[in-house]
Amino acid sequence: EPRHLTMEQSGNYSFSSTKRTISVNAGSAINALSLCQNNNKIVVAGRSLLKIYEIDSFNQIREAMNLHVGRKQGLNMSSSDVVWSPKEDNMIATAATNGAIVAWDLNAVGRNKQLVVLSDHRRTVTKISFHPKEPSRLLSGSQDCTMRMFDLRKKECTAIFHSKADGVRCVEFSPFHYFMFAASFDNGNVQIWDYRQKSTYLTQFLAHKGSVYTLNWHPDEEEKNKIATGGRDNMVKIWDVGSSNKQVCNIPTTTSVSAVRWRPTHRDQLATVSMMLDFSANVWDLRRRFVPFAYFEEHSDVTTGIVWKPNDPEVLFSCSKDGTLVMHAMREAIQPWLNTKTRGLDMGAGGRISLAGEHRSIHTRAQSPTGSGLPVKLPGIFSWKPGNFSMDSDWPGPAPASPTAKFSNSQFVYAAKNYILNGPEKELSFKQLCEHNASVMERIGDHNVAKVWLIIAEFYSNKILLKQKATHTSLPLQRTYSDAAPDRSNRAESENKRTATKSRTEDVHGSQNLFNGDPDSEVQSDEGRLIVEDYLTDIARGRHSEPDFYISDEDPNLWGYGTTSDAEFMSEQEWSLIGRVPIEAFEKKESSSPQSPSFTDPDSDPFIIGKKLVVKSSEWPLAFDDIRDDLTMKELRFGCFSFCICRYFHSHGDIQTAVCLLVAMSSYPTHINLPLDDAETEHWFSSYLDLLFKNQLFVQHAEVVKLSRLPNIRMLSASSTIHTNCKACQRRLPNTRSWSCDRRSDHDHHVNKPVLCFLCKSVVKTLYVYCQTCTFGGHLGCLQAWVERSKNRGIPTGRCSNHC
Amino acid sequence: MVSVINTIDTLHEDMIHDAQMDYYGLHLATCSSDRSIRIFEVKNGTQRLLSTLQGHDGPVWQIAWAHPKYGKMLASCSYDRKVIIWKEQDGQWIKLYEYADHDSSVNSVCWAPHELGLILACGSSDGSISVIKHHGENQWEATKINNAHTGGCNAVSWAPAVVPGSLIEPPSQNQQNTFVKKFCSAGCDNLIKVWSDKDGRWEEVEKLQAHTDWVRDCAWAPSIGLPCSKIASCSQDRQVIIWTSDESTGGQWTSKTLNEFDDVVWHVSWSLTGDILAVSGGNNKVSLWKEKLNGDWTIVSDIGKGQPGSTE
Repeated sequence: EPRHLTMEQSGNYSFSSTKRTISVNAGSAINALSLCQNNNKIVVAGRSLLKIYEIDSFNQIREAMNLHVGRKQGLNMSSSDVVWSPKEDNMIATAATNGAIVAWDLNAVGRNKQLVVLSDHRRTVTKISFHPKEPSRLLSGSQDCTMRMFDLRKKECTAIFHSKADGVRCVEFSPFHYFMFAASFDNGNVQIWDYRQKSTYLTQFLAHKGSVYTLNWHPDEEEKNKIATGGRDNMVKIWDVGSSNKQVCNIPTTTSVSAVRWRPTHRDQLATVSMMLDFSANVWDLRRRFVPFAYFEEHSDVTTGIVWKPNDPEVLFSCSKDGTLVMHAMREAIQPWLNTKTRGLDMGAGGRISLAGEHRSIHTRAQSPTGSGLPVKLPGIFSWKPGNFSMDSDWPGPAPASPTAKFSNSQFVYAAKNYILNGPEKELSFKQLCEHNASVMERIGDHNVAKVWLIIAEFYSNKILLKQKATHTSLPLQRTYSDAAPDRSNRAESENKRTATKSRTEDVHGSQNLFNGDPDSEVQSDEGRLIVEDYLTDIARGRHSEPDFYISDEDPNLWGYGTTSDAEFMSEQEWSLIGRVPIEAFEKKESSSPQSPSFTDPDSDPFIIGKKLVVKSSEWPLAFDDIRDDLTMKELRFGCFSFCICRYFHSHGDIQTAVCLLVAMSSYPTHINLPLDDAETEHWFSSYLDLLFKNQLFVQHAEVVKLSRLPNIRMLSASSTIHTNCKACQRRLPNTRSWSCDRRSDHDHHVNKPVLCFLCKSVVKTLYVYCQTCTFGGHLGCLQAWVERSKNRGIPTGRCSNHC
Repeated sequence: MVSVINTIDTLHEDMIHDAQMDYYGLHLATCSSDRSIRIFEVKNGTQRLLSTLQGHDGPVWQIAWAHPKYGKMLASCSYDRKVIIWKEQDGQWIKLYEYADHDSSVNSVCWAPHELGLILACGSSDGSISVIKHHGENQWEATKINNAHTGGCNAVSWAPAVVPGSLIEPPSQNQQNTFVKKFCSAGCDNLIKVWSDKDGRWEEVEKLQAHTDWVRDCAWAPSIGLPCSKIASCSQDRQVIIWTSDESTGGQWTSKTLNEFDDVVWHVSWSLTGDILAVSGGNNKVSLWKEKLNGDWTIVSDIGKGQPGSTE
């Protein structure tokens, strides 16, 4: 686990607190490097380079010796590899591209410190290795497909091992098996040899696709059978060569691996460098195979060699073709894990939450061939669906009806599917429609919205009835007066009630504020009140001067001016209009409030307003019986009432209710114009339509579009214009009626690729009918004939399962 | 109560870094350290592996679905410094475009609101942010913001394409013209920055400072047109902060700490309506938060330990 690894590393900070990355330039490209036994000197070798650097007690690197002296050393000096004897501090060996192996005695007197030149190999020596215990035993691997053992005391080759394979890429003595060494080859094989047995290898296995550039025995005695190999196939593989040659683990890297080195004391970590493209030195952890545990980016060209400081796993040396030798400090490494998010979270359509993380309880796949032998923490993915919040005791706050409406997708879908929006089509009265919709909401447990439907039903059913009656009278003016008449007759009653009303007015305004929503929407509520007042004025004026007093935003100025003669009446009217309905409505609320537990914590739920409106259904008819005949008043109040309801719902994200109310109301021919802005309702509609679309409720989508009275929304159904592209040149055709492209003159593509009917194979010039999924199509006539013949077996291709 | 409906064995070989559901919530894409992206069909509590997308050379950190009006399209970003845009054509997922202009691991991808066109923002560990715009016929144009976040950018999130306040004051014609593309980004410099499009160039318009450690994720809340913008951010410092910008206060961003958690907070995600915030912390725990009328945030639900199907 990454965090654990990070901790482990940070724990070692003090261990190497003085160390930091240091770089020296050797002057020319370096091919290889090696540390001496005491870890205080390092040798670097290149094409015309052989230098020894000393690391002093202050951790500075300085040049100690330059072995590349004189001009006549020629090709023997073009080193591809260099090793320092693990036993003798004065002994190093270099391998040259011409096949020579040179042993150097650093204690030799004079300028020429070459001990011996061994020219047995006929082609480039790729790798040499000292025996870990015997200082004079040197092993080499060459492109001439042989490995040779040298005795540096005898200064001769003591054994030849024929690989029977391909060019040797790497050889290395096992640090713990005394007689054993491993070799890797260009053909992808790895061989394990016992050098006492010169005829053939102990085992061989195919390790990589393509060359195996490098191998490294594990430095830990407990893991002495483990080998890491790296190859051209961008993989690092870990093998157990003890009994069977089993692949233990692999690390996929981004580029071919030219060197791999286990990190001392960190059993699961190793460093790699790449042969091309990637100049960085990467440190990997087998428990996180896919991203480096850390990396170093100091080099500006290919990094050719790496070596860990055996007694200090916090230090890594690397050399590069850019000529630099760098001592890296692990604590300065870049750790990509720190940038990594180990969780994925998404809240998608319908309130589903998906979370990606580790599933700790499963360990079963640890034995899989690709998995590591270490306990693997398997990734798991969970997705949660918020179910019914409301009835659960865990729910914070005693809200019996909770904000599920906008949250729970299933409820949304259910409501969308079951709502009846087009009453006239189903021959339902408005009241029946509302009752149906209320029952829908009751069924899914959203009592607030159900009540709202019932309230709307109460209000509007009379109005719509009235309107239907009024249509018989045919004269709007008369209708208006007849509407007003009961109101006038009720004026006496209003007068009587006025004193009582007055005292309650304060409450009313308070209630209205509540009604208009939460404190955030101050602007909204102000606006709402403003419109209410305008509305009152309008009504009052309309009574005298205008035939149709229904609020319409077409010409608000029409209502704005008038004589003040009926000011008194207006104010009176205002009292009664504002006063009566709300008081009656809210009185019920107040009386019922003690029964409702939700009132104890009004802040906990934004739906509180909705709740306050909700009273027991049995009480409603009672409340409205008093004013049943006072139609004008109701209508007035309803206008702003429904307006407020819609706004309220919308402001709390319940687009569905808001839009459905609007749609249902407007579905009747004598619809009520609400004091709503077109742009605003359009916004609601488009939001709702988007939600429907998201839930793939296309039928409901179409219905809402159809029932909408907003021109822009209705256009949606008309705007399913398909822009047709020319089949040949992929350009949009100039008009939808013609199938000919206006670039016909430029290309002769229409001659080559005309639009063909799939059935009769002739060019379609008129109406082209096609399936939207598979674009199969042709003449309308041809298709019709075909469909009749095939009796609904679908379109005549195998490509599309649609029965178009 | 929130319940686990599905636990999916993705068969990924290593850690999953992201799981995203498409627009309809029918497909789930997961990406993993094992360099692959897997696409599942999730239906009625069951899931079916549809495809495995191979193409990245390193762990895939994040994925993002494009709006379905552009077809089935997926963007992914990876440790291999590449961003790949995948598209399903005739049932096969193909690489539509590969963007490789970052100098380090790309940590985050986010599609702009579909109204703005096919635009992708990518945040990288090299500290830069790229905005890749589609010009039709697979022509993509990239704009790069260099040195956006010192130390690397961890997350990007687009502002919704709704003019704040459009619900209250329906946008007039000229207001719509002045709509500017915006996104926010979170970085290793403990900052959240808000970027705004100015004549095709991206300008830093806001620098939000309150976190005391790397900011892991930021998410701009979807808007229904209310006159305030919200950004949620979470950080290594274990805090989740809600940033609010209200037109009434002149667009100033104010911060409010949602909660201080016991562990690093990895991700924040808003519900479609922008009223519920999901927060993913340590121990595979997810909590849902909702704003109360008084502006405080209250926990709605807590998923994780002790729940059926949870990790323990």
